[in-house]
Order: sequence, then structure tokens, then C-alpha cells
Amino acid sequence: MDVQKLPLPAVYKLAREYRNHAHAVSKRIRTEPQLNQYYTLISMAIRVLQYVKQAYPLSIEQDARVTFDLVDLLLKETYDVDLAESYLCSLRERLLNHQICGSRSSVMNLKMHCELLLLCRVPIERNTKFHYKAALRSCEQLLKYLIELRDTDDSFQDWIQVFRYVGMSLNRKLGKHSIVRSQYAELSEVADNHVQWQGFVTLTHINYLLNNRLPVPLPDRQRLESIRVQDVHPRWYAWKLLLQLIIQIYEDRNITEKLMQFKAFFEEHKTSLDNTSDDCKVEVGKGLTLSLNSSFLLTYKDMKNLLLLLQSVSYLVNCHDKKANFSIKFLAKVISSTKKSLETPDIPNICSINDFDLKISWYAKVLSFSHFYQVWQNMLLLTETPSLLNQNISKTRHSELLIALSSHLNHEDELLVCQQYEELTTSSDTSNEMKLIALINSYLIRTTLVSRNVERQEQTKLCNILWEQIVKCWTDSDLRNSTTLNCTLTMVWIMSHFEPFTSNPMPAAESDKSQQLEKLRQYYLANKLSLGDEVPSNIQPAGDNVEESFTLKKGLMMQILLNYLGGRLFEQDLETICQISAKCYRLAKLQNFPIVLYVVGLWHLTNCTMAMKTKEATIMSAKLEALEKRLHADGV
Amino acid sequence: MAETVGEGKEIARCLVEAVGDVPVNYIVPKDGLSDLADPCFTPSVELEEPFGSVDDSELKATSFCVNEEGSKKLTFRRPKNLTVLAEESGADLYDGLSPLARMSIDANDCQVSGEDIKEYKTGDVSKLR
Repeated sequence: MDVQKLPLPAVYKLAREYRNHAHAVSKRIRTEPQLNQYYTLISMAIRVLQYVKQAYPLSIEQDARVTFDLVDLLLKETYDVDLAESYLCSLRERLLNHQICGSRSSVMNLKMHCELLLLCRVPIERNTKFHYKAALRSCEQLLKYLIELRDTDDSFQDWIQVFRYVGMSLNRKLGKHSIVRSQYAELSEVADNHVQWQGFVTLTHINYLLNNRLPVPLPDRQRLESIRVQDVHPRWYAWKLLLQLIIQIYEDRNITEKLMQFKAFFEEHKTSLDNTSDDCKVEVGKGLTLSLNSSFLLTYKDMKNLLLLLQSVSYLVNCHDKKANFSIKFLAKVISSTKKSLETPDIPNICSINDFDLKISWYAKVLSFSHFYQVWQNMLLLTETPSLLNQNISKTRHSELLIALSSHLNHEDELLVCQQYEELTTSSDTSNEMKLIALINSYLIRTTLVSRNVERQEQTKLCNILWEQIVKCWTDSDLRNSTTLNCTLTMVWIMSHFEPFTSNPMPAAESDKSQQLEKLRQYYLANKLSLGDEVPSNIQPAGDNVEESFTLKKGLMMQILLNYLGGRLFEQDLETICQISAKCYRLAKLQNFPIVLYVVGLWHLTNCTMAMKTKEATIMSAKLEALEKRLHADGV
Repeated sequence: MAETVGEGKEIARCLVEAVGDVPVNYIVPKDGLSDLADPCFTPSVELEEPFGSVDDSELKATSFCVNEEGSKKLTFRRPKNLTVLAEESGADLYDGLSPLARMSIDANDCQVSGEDIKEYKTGDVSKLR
């Protein structure tokens, strides 16, 4: 067969046909021979493109297009990154020569696309520090070159912005948080930024901050807030709302208002969130629009599912009544709909098998999170010791934490439990949040040992070391914005430094003491229990004009601790104190922690005796005696 | 509580001893939730179509051979999460290809086999996506 009989456009069309056909059938692949067929199609597409490059005289535009198609296939479907890179480098060379010959502007876009592939796609596929650093150096050189060009031609300003963004993305990959922060500030302070570009830069930046659990500064929040639905595609607006919701969840705040915004937004725009809508463009400036490629996009259905998962997380500690807690219902729903999605994923009709695979991995992550939170929910609401059996939790740190928690709940040897917690904190890839949870638990166990005079000196020393680590985790991350954590740390500090909460208070400066007491007072005043007769399933704070920044979620254990401490430290009136201790006791009965119940009961007994409530005191002491017997029987 | 093994146990009376007995269960880990919202966009340039249109009659050629000796063997990515069954059956995915495309596959003898499709490798930086 004489190949030259086929004209160039026909051969190129053949390559396209192979690729498009492969991407159209990727959804239907079930068996190994079908997978082979898929890759045979891809392989044909690659070969035909390679053939075009060898056998036909091509214009620079045609050469570039064929090379880009080829590189895209190599990067997406194969591991042959080196080959892709060598194609790009030689194209860059040709483009450069062409540029010298004249017709600069027509080739500029090709050149820039070539650079974007070399600086964004190729290093991501390699994903090593070495390659990110090398790309960063090339990016800086390119920027220098562009800045020189700008001096003669203003139109390069937009490209400078784009490659500043690229450089920032590379620094993100390298974990250079402080450089990223200042580069983001520079990027977003450009006065005439296009509203879409500004939106894009802000959204990706906030997502990056949250992924790394870094605090989101106020100006960044304001920029996020300023993204308007009329300026960006609805999918981006949904992205904005999601990020704002996640900020609130990370900070343990009330999410009701944000959910209402979602509801209103969906009513208007849910049809724009399907797989066909063409939203992946961003206008950088008047003359420059970029396309944005993502391996997967969330559809309306995916987003609803994700929202349900996020709500479950937020509601977990909001309500201690297992009949009224939404998370139980929601998590089960997320699990069942995610399982369905795993069978029939929501993906575009034309899609590479590897993008398809990434979408499936997204569903798998959602499923793994749901299982994890179900375990947590059972621990919280049903006092069930976490069991990893039959649990599909893929994150190693999550499983390790659950193992430590279950040893703790099973009252295994204290030092062993501490060791389990502390092992978690020494791995370099454990996040600050995971570390902090482990450290707080370990600290409390060691303070218990100090209070019981077990290896007191040694344990005090260890406690101090742990506390330093706690403070570091807390200040280094966005955790410092969580009221739950802030209040918990204050309570933990007070419990370990003041009598009668510990028998052996640890030494501290008076100024520290008064500072911590003041903070606790504010949390107590903003969240103390109302003293009605009933113990409602939702604990209502008593104060009317409560400072919002001190409002806490209604975690049962947290409420008991806060009101116990506050009642003992800040209340004067015996009758009030008696009411608080009665309420704390009733709350403590709701969770199956007998020793906590016992200690709270002792306090109430003391109060009743002092207030000369003889009848109540008699009842209390009978209850506590029974509890003592039970505890002895359990061998505690 | 017991200071040495075997001694009768004493129940905690201090708050801290009661609290240390159980984990702080209300601090729920939330890491990773934001990753689920991240589309991990990479920017690219929209380019013009540099190839002319094709007259369908030109595609009537019976087959097309690009078989180059010594062209590099490629390693394809095996999907990580997708279940692919080893069985032989399954619909023919070439259905719908043009005659030219169909015949060229045969003419080129380039069937990809299972051993060319390998598991994911990852670099030293944890992958966000």
C-alpha cells in the first residue's frame, strides 16, 4: 500500500479517530482483552502521529499541533515521560528558530503552550522534588525573558502573570509555603487583574491552603467571598461555596447559613453542573484566554454527595442523641450512593481510561472517609470501641489513630497507649491535626500519671515536652482557628495546673495561669448550660448576647468538662453551683464513661451536702456507691 | 488506681484522672476533606486547527501501514481502581471504527498485550490528585 496516497489531513484525521474512539469506549472496558484493545487504539493514535511527523512536510503550526497531541497521549496514557519531554524540547527549538525568522506573534501561543506543558504537565507526571526544582529554574528564566519582551510590547504582561502562577504552583508542589504565600500576594495585588483570572488564582490558592491545613488569612477570605456568580462559571462558584464550607467545618463553626446558600445556588444553576458544560476556560486578560484541564470534574450529583459527607462531619458532635443525630442517616446515605456511583460513575462520554480511573479513586476516597466517620460516630454516640475489622479505611494515619483510640478505650497499659499515640506524632508525614489529637490524648494520660504520683518527675518532664509540641502544631496550622481546639487546650492546661482538678498541679507562672483562666471564663460564659429542668438533646447555651468567636459545638464531653470547670472556678452562688453539677451529672450519664460520671457525681454530692440538700445527697451517695461497685467489678 | 500490679484499685477522684481514662472523642479529624473539592487544574492554550478538512472519498484507501522497525515500545498505564476481569469475553471495542482505521490495525500488527500495561508508579512527592 502506497501510504503517500493519503493526504496529510486524512492521516491526521485517522490519528484523531483512534484517540476519540478509545476515549469513547473507555467506559465500557470490563475485561483484559478489552483493555488491550483500548491501548491498541491509543498505540495506533501515537504511531500515526509519529508517522505524520516523519513522513510529511509540516508547517510550524501543524508540527506543533501533532507534537502536542502526541505528548498529551504519552503523558496521559503511558509512562514514557522522557519521550514526551524530548518531543517538546525539540519542538521548542524549532519554534525558537522560527521566531527568529519573523512572524513572532503567530508562533507565540505555540511556544507558550509548549512551555506550559514542560513546566506544568511533565513535572507533575514525574512528581519528584528534583524535577519540580528544575522546572522552577526554567520557569524563572522564562519569566526573565518575558519581562524583557514586555518592555517593548505590553501584551506580554498576561503571559507574565500566567508563568508567575506556574512558578507558584511549582513551589506549592515543593511545599515552600511561605514563598507561595508571598507569590500569591504579589499575583493578586496586580491592579487590573481580570476578574476570572483573579478568581481562579484565589480558588486554587485557598484550596491549597486548606489541603495543607494552613490558616486562611482575612484578605484571602475576602477575595474568595468577592467571587460573584455572574463573573465565573457556576461550577467555579460551587467550588467557592465548597471551600467556604470546608473552612467553617475546619474551624468547627455553624454551617447552616452556607447550606442555605448552596440550596439557593443549586435551585438556579444545577443544570450547569453536568459533564457536558464547557466551563474550563479562564480569561487572563483581554487578549488571552486559557483552557483548564482537570482529570475529573464534580457533577451536581457528586457535589450533593460530597455536601452530605461534609454535613455529617459537621453534625457529628452537634448532637449527642443517637436518635436525633443527622450524621447516622447521612453517612449511610453517602455510603450507599457512593457505592452506586462506583458502579456507574458520573464521567464525560469522551474520557481517557486514566481520567476515568481517577474519578473512581475519588469515589473510593469519599467511601473511605464515610467509613472512617462511621467508626467515629459509633465511638461518639454509641461508645463503641473502634474496630478496624470490615472497615474500608484507606488512610494509614486514620487507621493508626483508631488503633490507638481503641487501646485507650480498652484501658490497655497507659504507657503503651501513650507510646502508640506518640509514634503517630513522630512520623514526618503525619498532619498537624492528627498529631495534635494524638498529643492531647497522650498529654492527658501522662498528666493522670503525674496526678497519681506515678513516676512524677519523669512524667512531668514528658508532659512539658508534649505541651511544647501541642503549641507548635496548633500555631503552625489552621487549627488555631478552631474554637473546639482552643477551648480544649485551655481546659487541658487548667486541669493539669490547678487543684483540685489534679492532685499534683504542674508548676507554671502566675501570668500564664491568669491568662488561661481568663480564656476559660470567656468560653464558659459563652457556652454555659441553661439551668432549666430538662436535659434537652441539643444543649442550648444560656447566654443571649454571646460573643460568636467563643461559641462552641455541642460535643457532650466538652460541655461536661467546660461546665464542671466553670462551675467550680467562676460560680459563687451555692444554689447555682448545685444546679450546674446536677446538670453535668445528668449529661455525663448520657455517655458511657463511668469514671467521668463518678468524678462529676462526687462533685454534685459535695455540692448537695454543702447546700444541705439531704435527700438529694443521700440519693447521690447511693448512686455513687453502686457505681463504685460496678467499677470495682469491672476491675478499673 | 493501682500503683503496683495486684493491689486493690482505687477510683479516680480528680477530673484529670477521669478524663485521661478515655480519649477526647469530640475532636474529629477533618484532614483531607478539602482535597475532595480540588479539581487540580492545569492551564493550557487554546490553539487553532491547522489541518484542512478531508474529503471522505480520500479515506477509501484499504489500509495504511506505519509499521516502523525499531520504533520505541511504550509502557501503558494500568488503571489502579478500575476492576478489569481476566476473562476472554466482552464486546468488541473496535466496533464503530472506520474501515480504514479497522484495517490499519491489522496491517500494522501492533496489538498491545497485557505485559505492556503496567501498574502506577509514583514519585517522591505525595500526589495530590
